[in-house]
Amino acid sequence: MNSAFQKRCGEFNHDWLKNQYLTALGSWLNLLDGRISDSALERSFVSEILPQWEGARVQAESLACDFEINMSPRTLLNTPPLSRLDDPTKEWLGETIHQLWMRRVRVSEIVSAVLREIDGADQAYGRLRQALCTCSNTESGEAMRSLRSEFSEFRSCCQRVARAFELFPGEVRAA
Amino acid sequence: MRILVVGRGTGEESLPNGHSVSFASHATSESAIVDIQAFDFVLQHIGPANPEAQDAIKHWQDLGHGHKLLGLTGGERPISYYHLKIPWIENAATQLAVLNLNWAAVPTDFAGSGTDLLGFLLTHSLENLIALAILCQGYLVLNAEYDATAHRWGPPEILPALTQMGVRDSNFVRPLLDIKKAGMSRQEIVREYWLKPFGLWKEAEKEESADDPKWAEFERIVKKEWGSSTGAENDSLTAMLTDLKGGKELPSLAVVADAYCEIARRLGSSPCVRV
Repeated sequence: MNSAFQKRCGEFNHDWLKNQYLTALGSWLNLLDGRISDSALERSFVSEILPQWEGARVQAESLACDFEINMSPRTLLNTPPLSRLDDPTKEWLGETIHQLWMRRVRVSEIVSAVLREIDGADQAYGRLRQALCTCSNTESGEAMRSLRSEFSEFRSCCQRVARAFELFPGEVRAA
Repeated sequence: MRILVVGRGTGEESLPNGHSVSFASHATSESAIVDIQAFDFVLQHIGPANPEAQDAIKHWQDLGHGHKLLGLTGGERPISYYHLKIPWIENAATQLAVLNLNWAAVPTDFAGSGTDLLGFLLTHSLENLIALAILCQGYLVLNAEYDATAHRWGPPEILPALTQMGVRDSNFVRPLLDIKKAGMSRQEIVREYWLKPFGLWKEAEKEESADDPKWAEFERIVKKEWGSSTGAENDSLTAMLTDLKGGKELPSLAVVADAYCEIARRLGSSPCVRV
């Protein structure tokens, strides 16, 4: 079982995207709606928190692309007891169970769905950044209130990214 | 045992060994913290999606239910929650991840602490069942035939297993198998395939011995992984191992297919559907 890959997925989707970034985006929308007041968030959101998406997007795409190789049941042939099989057997058996898994779990569809949601979020982020260029003061919630729909759209896209990542099986499944 | 899981969706599910689980999104109902009297254990998600969690845990601890509580997180336990003196289950981000914990290892009459429960849930010692499932898949695909006239795979007795495995249409190409199939026609090579991973194949003698104490140990481990009271049948798995142990004849394709379906069900995978 590839725990390093699962750890990377957990750190991205659970720890950063859901628990930090989406939480911050939710707080930001509350601030724009006048439900909360937080001067520190108001000053730092656009300059420090929002741009975190740019690095995270690269990480998310990398995770999606690495999924197939890391979570295939073929990896089980590298650890006991199946690692005791001879190499030629591992070769045909590994390819067989990999192909079966690809069909059973619909791996290509899941990876495509994740990449599609990442791309959707990135496009929403681009529109938001463009809209922010027209804003007179990006350290003022008041000044950015007119961009609420762009912020809200980006948050919805990020939520879809989080849900798409949950389509990845949480463990290497043999059957 | 009745388990309440808070923060991983809603619904009810049966678990192995007669246990059951109820899922609730939040620890509050109509602004009041829910009563957990009827539950043996509560797995409470702790994170931004459940802001009520810390208050709920304190409330339950004050009522004397502290021994029932376990923390649940989709990642690793955040340092900011170290002060909660409860056992934690980490990396359980979805309802499925909770259901995939090793509930089968928790005895029917379990009466231990939350820490004891954690000890059972986090032991994923199903390596031998998983290996057997993979060996079954390889063996069944190797022996499957596609009937171009009827547009289906067979023989019929292994079709439910093939379908569950992912062999569903004529487009499935068996990789490298034509070469291997010729090699696998010899009985000792097939036996080596089944037995070598478990240390039951004696290379020098080109056979295994049914009297080898390793067989008894292997059967004991497989039985343990299966779980003593899962309620699921494993007659075909037993038959397959008996055939392999006997050394006289190989298990039939039907027995291997049925054994695969039993193991797949035990591993929590989708069931084989008879057609």
